[in-house]
Amino acid sequence: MSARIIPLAPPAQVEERISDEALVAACAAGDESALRILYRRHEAGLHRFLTRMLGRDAVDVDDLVQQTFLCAWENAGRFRAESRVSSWLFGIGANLARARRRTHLRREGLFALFSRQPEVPRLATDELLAHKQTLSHLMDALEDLPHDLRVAFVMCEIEEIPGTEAARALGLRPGTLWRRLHDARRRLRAALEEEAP
Amino acid sequence: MTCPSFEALSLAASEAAPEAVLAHVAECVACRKVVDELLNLRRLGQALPVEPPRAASAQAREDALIREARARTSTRTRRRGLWTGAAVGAVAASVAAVVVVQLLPDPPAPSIEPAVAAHQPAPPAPPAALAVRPGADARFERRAVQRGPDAQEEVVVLDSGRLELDVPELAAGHTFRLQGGDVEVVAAQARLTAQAEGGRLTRLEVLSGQARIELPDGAKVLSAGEVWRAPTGATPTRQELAFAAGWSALQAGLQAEAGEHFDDALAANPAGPLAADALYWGAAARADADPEAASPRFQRLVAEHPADPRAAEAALWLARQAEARGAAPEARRWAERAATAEDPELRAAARDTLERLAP
Repeated sequence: MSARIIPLAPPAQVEERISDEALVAACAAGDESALRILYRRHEAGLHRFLTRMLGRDAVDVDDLVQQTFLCAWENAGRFRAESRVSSWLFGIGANLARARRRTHLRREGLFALFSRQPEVPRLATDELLAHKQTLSHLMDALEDLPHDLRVAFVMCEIEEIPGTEAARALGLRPGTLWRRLHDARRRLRAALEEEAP
Repeated sequence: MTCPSFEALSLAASEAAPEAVLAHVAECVACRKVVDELLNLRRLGQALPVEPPRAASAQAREDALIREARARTSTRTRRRGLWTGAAVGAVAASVAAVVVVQLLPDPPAPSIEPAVAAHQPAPPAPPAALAVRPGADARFERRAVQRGPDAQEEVVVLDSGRLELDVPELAAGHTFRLQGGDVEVVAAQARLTAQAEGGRLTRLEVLSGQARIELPDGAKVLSAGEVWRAPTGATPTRQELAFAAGWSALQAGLQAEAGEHFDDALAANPAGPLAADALYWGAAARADADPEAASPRFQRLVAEHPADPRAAEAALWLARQAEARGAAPEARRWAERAATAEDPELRAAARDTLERLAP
């Protein structure tokens, strides 16, 4: 490429002015400093998303975050701005998490994971402990969801990405995403009801 | 009014509820309870504890990312990453690398201003004087890229067919580039004809002026009357290129686009070495969003490539689809096919399916 090179570290205010979309475009042109800015902006959000996607299997999340950014770096030229960059990154991360989980399932045995019992104490007397227990049940239930349903729930509900945008980021029809979200909610609700004292 | 379905109430807890449902929910205690529970589910989900990335090693992680990104760019190769588990032939892998190379330009030295400025949302119109005369079979894309306040580049990406180009004397700061796969041509005040096949430039003739042709193994300048031809045998086939494009799209999570590329790869050579791969991945790319389109592709894989290790996986997928439709006899047939898999996990899953389907 024949871009002119200005060896100038970007001042903070320039960094703030640059949109995510422009950064992705710059990544497509091989600009490493754009990747740095993108990483700083989205590392925490992506880390949070992937941690929730992986649940208690959330080891090596840092590595998965890095793989997501590398995949984005390599495919930046394909970004079509049909969704926000953060949603696009979540979509890539979700695909990688699926692959990671498949590997994990193979290693652990396909059904062992699903037969795991909650390890939290069943009796709780104070409200805080009850809340913690509910969260623990929810985490178990979320882990037990099939990958596609979990992605729908984590993206739309926890990360509050609008359904149509999440669908675009995942390459789905909106109707498919809604169906998955409904199904995820139905299962999670049932799971929490089962565990309720 | 009858209480709406759970799906309608679920929509009411999101952003897409019809007015009538909202009105009902406002009046109906039972439905309101369901919606409240769904909203509470969201609050609980957001309250799940998450350990943030470790601040202490933030810089080290960032530096490691950049090192790896640089290594991937500079070596001009790619790892498969997400899809390494797939049994795709070595040919496809090498082609994927070739195609990826064409997508990634040379890395400029670390800088932020030029490249970012180069991608402002609305680049100015290309210089009017450039003339592009496509042949009847030409597939190409023409775009202008602003490289700075006074610098502009016009790019023509030739996918296939023949183009004749009149490149005028360019204004200061303006450049012209022709791309065809991993070959680029830079010219000013020249007349050229270019030919491409399967996304790759195969021939360039300089009719007048000069052009610099940049090849993976170096660059050369062609003068009027000179012709460059891509070395025969090194050019990937259309099937390989389409497959690699599908692969790349799949890695980027663009399933629909990937599916189309895999279809192209299959259509390019239905009996070719990548036919089974193209069928499998064409189906896999659609399995989530469009199972009806995935189904005939998986069926074809099982029928036409019974020895392919993924045929059993496809059969299991088909069994589960049939089971979900309530078509038990069909589901059993597919599950029986899947039960012949070499992979013990697949066999076990197929046997479970058969047990569930037992009359």
